[in-house]
Amino acid sequence: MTARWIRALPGAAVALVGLAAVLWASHAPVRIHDSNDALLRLAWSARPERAETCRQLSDDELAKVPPHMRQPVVCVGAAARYRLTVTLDRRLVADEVVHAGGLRQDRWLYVFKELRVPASAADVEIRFERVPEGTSPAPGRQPGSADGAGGEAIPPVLVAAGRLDFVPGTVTLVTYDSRTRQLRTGS
Amino acid sequence: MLRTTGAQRGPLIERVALAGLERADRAANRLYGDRFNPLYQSGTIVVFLYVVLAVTGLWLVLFYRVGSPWESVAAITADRWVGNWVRGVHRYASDLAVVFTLLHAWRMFAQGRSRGARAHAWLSGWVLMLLVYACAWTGFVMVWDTFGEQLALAGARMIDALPVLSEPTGRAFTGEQPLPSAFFFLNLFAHIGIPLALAVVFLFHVKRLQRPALLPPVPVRWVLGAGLLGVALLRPIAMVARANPLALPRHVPMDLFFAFWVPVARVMSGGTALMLAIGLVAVAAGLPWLRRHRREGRPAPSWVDEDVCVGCVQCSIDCPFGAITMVERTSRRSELVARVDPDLCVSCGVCAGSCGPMGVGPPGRTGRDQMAATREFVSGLGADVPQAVVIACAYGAGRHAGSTIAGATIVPIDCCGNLHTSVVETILRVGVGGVLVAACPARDCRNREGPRWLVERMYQSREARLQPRVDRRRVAVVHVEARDRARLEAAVAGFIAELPRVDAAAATSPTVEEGLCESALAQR
Repeated sequence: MTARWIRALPGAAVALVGLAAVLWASHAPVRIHDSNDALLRLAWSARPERAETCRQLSDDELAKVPPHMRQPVVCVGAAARYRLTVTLDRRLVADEVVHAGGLRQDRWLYVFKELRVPASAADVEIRFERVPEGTSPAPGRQPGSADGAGGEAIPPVLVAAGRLDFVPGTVTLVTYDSRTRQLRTGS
Repeated sequence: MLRTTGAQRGPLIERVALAGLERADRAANRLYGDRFNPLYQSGTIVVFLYVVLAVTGLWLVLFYRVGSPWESVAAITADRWVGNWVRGVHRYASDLAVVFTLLHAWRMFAQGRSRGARAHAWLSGWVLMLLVYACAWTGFVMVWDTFGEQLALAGARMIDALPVLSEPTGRAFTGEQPLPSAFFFLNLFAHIGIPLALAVVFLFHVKRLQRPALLPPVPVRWVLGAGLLGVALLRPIAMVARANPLALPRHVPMDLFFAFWVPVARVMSGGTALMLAIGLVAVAAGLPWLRRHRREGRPAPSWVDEDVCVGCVQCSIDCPFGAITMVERTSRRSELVARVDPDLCVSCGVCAGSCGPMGVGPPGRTGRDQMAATREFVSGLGADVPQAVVIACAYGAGRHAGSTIAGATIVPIDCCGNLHTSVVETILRVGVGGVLVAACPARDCRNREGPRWLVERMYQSREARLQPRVDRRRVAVVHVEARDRARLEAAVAGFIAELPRVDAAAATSPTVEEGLCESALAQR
């Protein structure tokens, strides 16, 4: 009669192999980035300017509305859109239009873009420019001025240009500094 | 002889899954025996692992700090006496839970236990699986190492594809600003809250089972616990580099059980990855409905002949799925009568085997139907009475029906729990030497409790019990899995080999009934 422990050996061996497989799968090294990868990350949020069309209501139009709703000037508008372009050594690598967030596009705008770039120095130009909509700001309001609660709106044009050294295995981050109202880079 | 439903052949994918499962069962039974075969215990092992996760998790949460997540986990890991192996047990228990969950799902699907009245358990099982993955996601992100960061980024990309949030969640991980501790608090809250939801869904998962087996046998628990502890000590968890949003790690050690999708999701857009994930889960969860069984092919639920039912409640107790309730009735026959809920009944026929008066069972498989078929069988034998008759479960050894083994005729039955013991007695009365019932392994019964009730009816006093007048030496129950013909042959040969000795012994020593009669005669 074979000893019980000897009969248990094959089962124990299979269990050990299974556990070893579990151990390997629990710490499996997965390649995420190549060694020469570098990343240019554009990430900022800001309040967009508001493009409005305003007009003066006539006396007849004012008479038609209840007294508590008689505003002499009515403005209709939307948050401005901005074109984001990125050139690398004079080669266009990104060109898109960014609009304000939210279903009605009346929230802050959020820029979040990542571009794989060669790990070397390159001339970079990042432009973030308001898309002309053919509208004018409301009377008494200057472009780029505060549009209510939440601080100043982003300037109509933001440019960051210069020679950047993209180090392999690192991210070069471009953000918007609301104090200086300019784009700034860091890594 | 006995009517079967043809063990309901499923679609091709189900049959392929079943073929693979039976091969795996056979190999595992050879290694561990059917009592400790881990494949039979897959569901209960998952529950046990969740208990281990809860206990170790409660310990770990005491030392986790939302203000310094990586540092606090590093401190836990650096504690060689307790923290390191507790973290290791927690990690490896979660990995094993995924393995056994998949094995459990494989078994339930392959054995057709995901359809009909059991569909709710299948679907709730998928909900449990998704909750486990969500919980694991928060657990890994909480550590905030490079692996947690990759999980967070991959998840954020998928969430950002939904037109719900105005601000992309991925912006939180750009490195613009340090992550607020509120993020880690949220993860911790979810990591603790999701298991509570798991417990609630789990109750729903098992609510249609009578007497659900929640934990594996004690030896299995000990082996699992010791194995987890041993692995945690031999291969301690090491800290992975802290997350750095401004670095691009070349290799990241990932737990593939929970992050197998990350390398795939990285090469596609977040929306595509999300749609792919939803689609795969929907297909997997909807597999039982890919090819619907025709209604006329589905076995009908049990019914109760209220004129015969004596209200003994045995069928209500024995039903593995709680489909039979006892209700009051106005007639004087009995206070209670059984009533079957057709939505809960899976037509296993266990109730038919439990009913002495033979008043309940699926159409064509009640005790009376079985007796009618048996009488027809024995009347057809004539002088050609076999040495033994083997009654085998159609899901197991019954697939050898129609053949003879060592001179014994093999008769299939849908489930050995359906077998009425009067069938055994009737067969023995015509001179068959013995009746061997080849049941499925006790832990692999499609209807959960068939072999258990059969043994108690044959050898103990569970109704409808085999009458004491029947010579127990001529009756045997063996547990044989579907593909183990060798074991079936050995069991039949051994049983038949014993019969001449039983015949000789019976000639000299009376049966119980004969002994009672002789005793009564002697007293006159």
